[in-house]
Amino acid sequence: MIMLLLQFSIAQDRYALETSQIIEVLPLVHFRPCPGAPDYIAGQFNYRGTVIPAIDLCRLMHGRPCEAKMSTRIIVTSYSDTASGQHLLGLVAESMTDTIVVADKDLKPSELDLDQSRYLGKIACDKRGMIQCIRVEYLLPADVSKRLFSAGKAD
Amino acid sequence: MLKLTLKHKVAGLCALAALLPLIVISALTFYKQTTLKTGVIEDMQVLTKGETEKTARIVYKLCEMANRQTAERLDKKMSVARIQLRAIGGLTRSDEPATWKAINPSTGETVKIDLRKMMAGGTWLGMNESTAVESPVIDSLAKTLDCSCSLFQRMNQRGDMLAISTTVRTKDNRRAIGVAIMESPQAGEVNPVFAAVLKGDSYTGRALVAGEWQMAAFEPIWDSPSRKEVIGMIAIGYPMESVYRDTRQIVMSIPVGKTGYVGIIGGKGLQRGHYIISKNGERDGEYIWETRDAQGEPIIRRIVEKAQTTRNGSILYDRYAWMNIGETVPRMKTSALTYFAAWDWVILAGMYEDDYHGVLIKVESAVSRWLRMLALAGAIALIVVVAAATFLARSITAPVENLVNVAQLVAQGNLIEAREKMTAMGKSGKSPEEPPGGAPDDRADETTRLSAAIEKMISDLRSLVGLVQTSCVWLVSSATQMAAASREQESNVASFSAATTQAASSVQEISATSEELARAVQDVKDIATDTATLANSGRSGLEGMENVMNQLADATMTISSKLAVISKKANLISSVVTAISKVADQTNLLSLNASIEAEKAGEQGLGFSVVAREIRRLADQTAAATLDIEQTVTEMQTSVSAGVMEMDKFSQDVRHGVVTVGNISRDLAQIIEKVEDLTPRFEIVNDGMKAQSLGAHQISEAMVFLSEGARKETDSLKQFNEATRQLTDAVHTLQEIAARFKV
Repeated sequence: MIMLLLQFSIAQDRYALETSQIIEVLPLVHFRPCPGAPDYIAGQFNYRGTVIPAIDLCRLMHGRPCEAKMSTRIIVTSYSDTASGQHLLGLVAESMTDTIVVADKDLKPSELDLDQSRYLGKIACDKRGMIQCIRVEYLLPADVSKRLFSAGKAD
Repeated sequence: MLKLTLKHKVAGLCALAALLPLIVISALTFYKQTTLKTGVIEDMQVLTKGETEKTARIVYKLCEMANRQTAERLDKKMSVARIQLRAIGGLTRSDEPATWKAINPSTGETVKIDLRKMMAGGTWLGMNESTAVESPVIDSLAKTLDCSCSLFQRMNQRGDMLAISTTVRTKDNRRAIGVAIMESPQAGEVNPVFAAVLKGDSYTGRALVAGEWQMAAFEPIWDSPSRKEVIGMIAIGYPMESVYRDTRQIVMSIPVGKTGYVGIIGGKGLQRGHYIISKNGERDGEYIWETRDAQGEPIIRRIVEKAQTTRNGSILYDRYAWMNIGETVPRMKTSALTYFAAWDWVILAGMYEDDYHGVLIKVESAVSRWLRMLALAGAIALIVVVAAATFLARSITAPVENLVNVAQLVAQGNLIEAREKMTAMGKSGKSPEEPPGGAPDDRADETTRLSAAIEKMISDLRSLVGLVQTSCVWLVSSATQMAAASREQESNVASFSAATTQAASSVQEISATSEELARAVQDVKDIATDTATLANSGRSGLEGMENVMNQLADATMTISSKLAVISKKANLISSVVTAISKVADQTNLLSLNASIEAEKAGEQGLGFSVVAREIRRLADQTAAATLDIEQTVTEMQTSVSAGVMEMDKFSQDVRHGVVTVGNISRDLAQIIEKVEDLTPRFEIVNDGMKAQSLGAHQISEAMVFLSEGARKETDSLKQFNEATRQLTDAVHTLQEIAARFKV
């Protein structure tokens, strides 16, 4: 089966996300900071009238924020929390300007299984090197997810 | 050169002239004696060789002749023997054996051997040793042929032969049967008898027959009647001694030179080194092989071996010392050698070298007698010549010695005594008709003419010396006066000259100094003029520079303003580019979302998905191009702003430069003015200096001229003074010399 993936960069490495998980791609906007939250939480922003949190993937993986360039964009994705169900989540990454088409069989599972980085999924190889899929459902640890999304339920 | 008196020289010359030919003749004779002796010896040696060679050849021919005659005789006898043997029906072998004791003569061994009996016409030839009993066939043959006769039977396949019946006797007067002839008694040599007989031929020559050396003829005996095999042989011959008996007599009677003789020595085998024929037969049969001379050289061995190298009577020579019986001292001997092979004889014709010593002694004694006579003649000639020469020399030298005495007196200045002596000589030495002192006659001898000349010389000398002595006195007084006067004048001139020289040098110094000063002033003036010119040209150059700088400042202003315009335009481009890139970005974003939506739409979204991708590609190209422009514009902006800043700085520097140049130009103008003021003053000083220098120079020249005149004067005075002194000296010398003469 053929799949369409949105490709982007974190630092020098290429990553991708299945388009089926993407709601929309947005240009970079100003984030309202969330004091007390982990530093990879970039902040909150208004998406068509809904305030949703955004994760800076560069910060999460490399400890430095994404550069403020035109190609640095926000992916609006749907995140399913085990406790509170479906939520909208923003992911910030660099060089988000192209899509790629990958056959299902070309995706090889990563042999590593680390608790800290369970969000890193299968790997595909092409002419420019390796590209690794992101598993959105494992991006946030349970406690962070609870704190981010329990408030909305309470209201 | 030896210092000899005239007398001795004359005597010596005469003696030498008399003796020289005698000495030369003696030397030549002595030299000739040696060559003569050598020649005689050489000739004698040639004669000796000829004599010995001739003798050796004769003996060789003699032997050859005897050998040939005997061989011919034997061959004839053999043909008779052959006919007789045939007449009795030849020889056959019966089947009965007979036992023989075979003796090998070379080793002395005895072997027992069985041979088939040899039969002649049915009769066994027997085994008869006794001379009293007659042997069949052999004895009758020997009687008929008048020579010894032997029959041999073949012993084996090799061909050894056994004497079975013979007339040859042993020492104890028995028949010498049972003596074998073995093939090759000595290794390496082929017995010629066997070589011929076994082939079926006959052989004639020297051979050992039944233990006796014979000159013999051999003939094979064939197996009768088949004639297939040689079963034995028959030999007839004479003992060697009887063959060469005549030859021996002749050889012993041949003399060689005075005391030489012919000797024969055995060459090979048993007779090697044995005397066969000696001088008068005294040493015949003696073994002389080991004879050595005084140096230990084995001469006989040498001679025998040398002789055997000759072929067919060719001759070799040898020289050695030899001593005969009855002699006490060995004498040198020259021998001609040859080898008569048929009899194995070494022929030796020798001659003693002292046979011709008599001739040599005669030659030597003749020469020495001649030398003695020459010596005697020389001695007599010497005595006569020396006596005559002494007398002659005295008559020549006596007047000369007198004249020498007179000349010595003249040299001492004693003219009076010399004159007296001359007068005495004239009275004693000259003939009365010749006046003393008068012109000598041409016919008078040299001594007389010499004494006349000396006498005249003495009288002339006397008058001359008297005159000189008188003149000298007044010459001395005038020279002394002259010298005094000139010395005074010289001192005056010298003082004048010194003063002039001093003045001249001072003036010269002044002249030189003023000239130097004038030159210096001229230099200063030239430099001042140059400075003014240079300053002028500098000022005009500066003016040109100021103008250029002003133009430069203007141009800079224009460039700055133009740069500002460029900067503004670049900013404008930059903003446009930004706008374009924003649009491209938006387009890219839009196409991404479109792609995502198309994917979600599934089959229906496929077409749209393609459109979205195309849009994105275009947007990306635009973005890339825009980025390039943006970069270029940014760089341009940076360059322009840097350029503007640089231009501002430059323009400021130029303005500053204009001001500085103006200042320098003003300063230069002041300098020029001052230097131009200086020049005319320098000229005035210079002219004064030149005039002064010229005046000093003229004075100096005049002084030098004066000084030179004074110096010349001094010189000539000095020369004059010197001449005066020399004159005085000369006169004094003259006076001294004249005083020496006693007039």
